[in-house]
Amino acid sequence: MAESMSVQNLNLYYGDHHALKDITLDMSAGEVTAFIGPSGCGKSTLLRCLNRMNDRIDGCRVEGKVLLGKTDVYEKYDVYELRRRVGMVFQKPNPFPLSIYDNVTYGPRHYGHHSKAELDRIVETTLTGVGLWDEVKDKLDHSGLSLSGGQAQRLCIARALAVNPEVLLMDEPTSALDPISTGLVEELAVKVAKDHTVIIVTHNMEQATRISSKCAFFYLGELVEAAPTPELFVTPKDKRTEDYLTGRFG
Amino acid sequence: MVTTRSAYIKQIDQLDGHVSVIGQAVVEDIRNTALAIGQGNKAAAQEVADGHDAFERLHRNVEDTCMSLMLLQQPMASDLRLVTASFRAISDLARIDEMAYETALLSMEVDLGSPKEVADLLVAMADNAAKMVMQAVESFGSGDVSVAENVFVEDDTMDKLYEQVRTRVVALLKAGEEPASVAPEILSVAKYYERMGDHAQSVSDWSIFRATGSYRGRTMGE
Repeated sequence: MAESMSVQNLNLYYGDHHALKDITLDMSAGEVTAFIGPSGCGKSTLLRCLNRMNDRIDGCRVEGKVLLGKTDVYEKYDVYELRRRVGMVFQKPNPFPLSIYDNVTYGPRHYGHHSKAELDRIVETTLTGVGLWDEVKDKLDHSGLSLSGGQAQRLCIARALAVNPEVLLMDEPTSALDPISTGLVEELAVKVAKDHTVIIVTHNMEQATRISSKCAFFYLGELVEAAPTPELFVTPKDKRTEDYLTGRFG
Repeated sequence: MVTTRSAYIKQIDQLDGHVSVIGQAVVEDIRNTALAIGQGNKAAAQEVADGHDAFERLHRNVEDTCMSLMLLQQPMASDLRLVTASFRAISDLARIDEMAYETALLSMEVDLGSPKEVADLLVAMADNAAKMVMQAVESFGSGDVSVAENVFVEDDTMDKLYEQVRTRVVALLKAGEEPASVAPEILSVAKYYERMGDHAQSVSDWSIFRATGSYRGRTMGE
């Protein structure tokens, strides 16, 4: 069963710059939560807090809580275990320069799965899950870099899912893809959300309306408004959200 | 404020104005039918008939604008509410105007001015219909929900007036007195006005949706 995630009174600083300001937000299991807002508003920064991807940035300081279930991931938490439980897919597809098979089994091997039969099962199950199996089953030994953009992104999602995470973070996962590949990845996100917590950062507001159940709007490091997606897009409560959605933004 | 979609926002602003223009034209046409019935003013009826094609063109233009905005611009938030509500409201207003047009034609074909007590009731229905449309369109522009809700109250008056006309026409038919021969036309016109009230209520529903996001008590997404 997927764990929900939440942040409580989260503040993030890059040196003196206060990049995230007192964010409190719940992201439920079994649904897609979308983060929207203009560039630099902090949505990707928040996403990266959820599996501590900001840890290695010099001068980055986080205050407040990031909860996976009831556990604060910033307190005595093995970061490798965290990243198994909270997987991430990035803006540009980034398959490893390995075979398709090895891309999928990279994580499971790292976490102790070495049986060939077990790895074969993981590869078939995961690639089937992302709708890629029929396209690549006869060329699993080909390089992951040989795939098209859409296929490569689905391979990256498969790689993230292969270690059986509970949460999947997606940082603008379709911004480099054509409409057909975008549609496939969106459909996949909704499917994955049935038994995961999916959190997506997107600049595409139509995408947020299509796939998310809940949507959060950020501006200048603040969480302006979070609401069920239809409510946020039809009757936003805050004028800043209204202005952003309607293009009257200054 | 910096706007990022200035051409789109101009179209949205114009749409708001167009709904108001259509509403005013409909009110004017209803009032002209009252003049035609109550005062035998054939010129007023002719004005409604003459303006019918121009009204249709305006309606189609605004409908096209709504379609274009929905298909090409994907409006959101208050803009989405404006475009969807306008698209539906102008359909209701067009239906009302169609009935005003039919009423105007009938008033030129037969004498709806007698008996006077029935004509007075029809004029009262026309006045009430015009008032309801005016309030519905006003609330559409202003977002004042209380004005829209008042239209629902006015519809009770409309139903009562229709009943009075119907009762009087039945009495005329029973008595076999003239002008019983125009009873079908009188009832048709009364029904038109009664239905204009229903459509005005529908415009009010869309005014409330535009202002609140709630349509007949249901909120989008629930």
